[in-house]
Amino acid sequence: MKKYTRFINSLLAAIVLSMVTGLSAVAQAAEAKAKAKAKPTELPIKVSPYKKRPAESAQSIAEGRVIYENACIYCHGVEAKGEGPVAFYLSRDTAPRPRDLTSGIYKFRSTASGELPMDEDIFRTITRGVTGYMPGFEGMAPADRWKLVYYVKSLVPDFKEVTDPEVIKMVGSAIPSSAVSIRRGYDVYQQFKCWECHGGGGRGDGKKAPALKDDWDFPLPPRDLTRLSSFKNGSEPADLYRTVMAGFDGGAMPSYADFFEGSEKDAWHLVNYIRSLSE
Amino acid sequence: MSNKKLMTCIGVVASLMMASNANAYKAVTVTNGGSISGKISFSGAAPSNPKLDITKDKETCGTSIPADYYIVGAGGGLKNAVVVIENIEQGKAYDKKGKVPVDNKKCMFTPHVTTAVKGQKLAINNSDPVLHNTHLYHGEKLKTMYNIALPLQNRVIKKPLRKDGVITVKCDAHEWMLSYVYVAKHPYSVVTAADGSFTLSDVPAGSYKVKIWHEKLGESIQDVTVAAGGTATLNHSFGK
Repeated sequence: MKKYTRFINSLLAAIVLSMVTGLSAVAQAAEAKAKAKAKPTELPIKVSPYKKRPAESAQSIAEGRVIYENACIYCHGVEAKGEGPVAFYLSRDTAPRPRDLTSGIYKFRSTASGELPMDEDIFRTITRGVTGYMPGFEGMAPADRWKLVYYVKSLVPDFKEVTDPEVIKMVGSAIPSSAVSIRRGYDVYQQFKCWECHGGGGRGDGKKAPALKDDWDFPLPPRDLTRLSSFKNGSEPADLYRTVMAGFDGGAMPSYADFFEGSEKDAWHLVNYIRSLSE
Repeated sequence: MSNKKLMTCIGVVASLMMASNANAYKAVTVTNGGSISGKISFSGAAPSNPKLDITKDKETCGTSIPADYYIVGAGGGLKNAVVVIENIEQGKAYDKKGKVPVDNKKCMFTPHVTTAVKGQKLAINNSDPVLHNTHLYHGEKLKTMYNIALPLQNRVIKKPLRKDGVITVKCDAHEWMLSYVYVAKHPYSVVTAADGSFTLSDVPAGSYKVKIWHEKLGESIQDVTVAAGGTATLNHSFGK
């Protein structure tokens, strides 16, 4: 409610400002420009900037395994089932635990719910880590990170069978944030009932929050959306778009892709609203 | 560890071989087919269903719902058991574009148990004014298949059923909600009626292994021989 009041205040302020300076017109022009640029793309969101990557071969997988046994084994374990010795101290009885890399269930994807991730998704997670849980490995040579991707994939036979997962279409691009966009995003947040889990003020305290669990039956509360820097799947607009569309497999966050189909712009407005909660 | 890895390898190779051996179902014209019918029952006193505690959305869901795990009617007839032919590679045609409805209504799934053919689609609806999500899990390991948000009332979302086997359907938003979709590779599967009766029709003459599955009572496989134009009887009783 406090957030909402603040939002109303900022809206009023924006209206007053716009009367004086014509800011609204500027914002609309920016939106129109974003619209003109918007076109559907089949590309996975945030493709790695590293175009040169080693070939996926028995050798690179074996090399990836050596890297895994040096860097990842402490948390993800010898069997790669998330049973490393450090895992115990990370989260004994709450979620998330280090991922069971043999399960074939991936939270951070730019593919439809239930699909395997793109190689780039795994690469991104290794590079960035998972805020609050897994360290990022940006300091590792990109070629080594790719070899890790190949090793991790080799643990799940489905990767050999499904080479063409359904990719979330990134329609349009981030809309510059404005009072109008945030207002629309607020409406979407209400209409799509995000508040039932994430709470009216976005603090992760919705009526459905207490019972939520992950696939391994560990309690997994919804994210406090007022703490942008804690978002596990990244906090850039494209990251949030991807999260809303793809959902988090293995957790309770469902995919909203079907409901944003044809009105993807609303997803970008929602992204602006969510980001505004941390301002 | 190496032993375990080896076993895993053998398992993977074996399952790949099985996958390549399994023929896809072929639809043909069934002339003078027979049928399998009978009654699935539960002997003895029917187990009682637990009461599900409703902790939220009471204005929509009510305050208490009896679970629908065991529905035993007159004469012990068991509702919501699945009868499915295990080994049939060709037979009657079916609607490949058929939609199998699953409704979220008053914080329960309707129907509680349904059957489908691999490749058909689920038509998922939310009849309630509250947020539901439909979270599908595949097989005994309950591996997530997909998890779809249903924020808007009465908007049907169609999603493909790409794998066969028992699919458990849950809703993270209402942890008591539970249903099953039994996906077969062919159209010879049926859910028993309230009196436990069922019929599988247009079955080509032959000998079959028929599975009877129930969500709580487990499964049983029986040999059934269908004569051309005849009716084979299959009765099975769970419990003592």
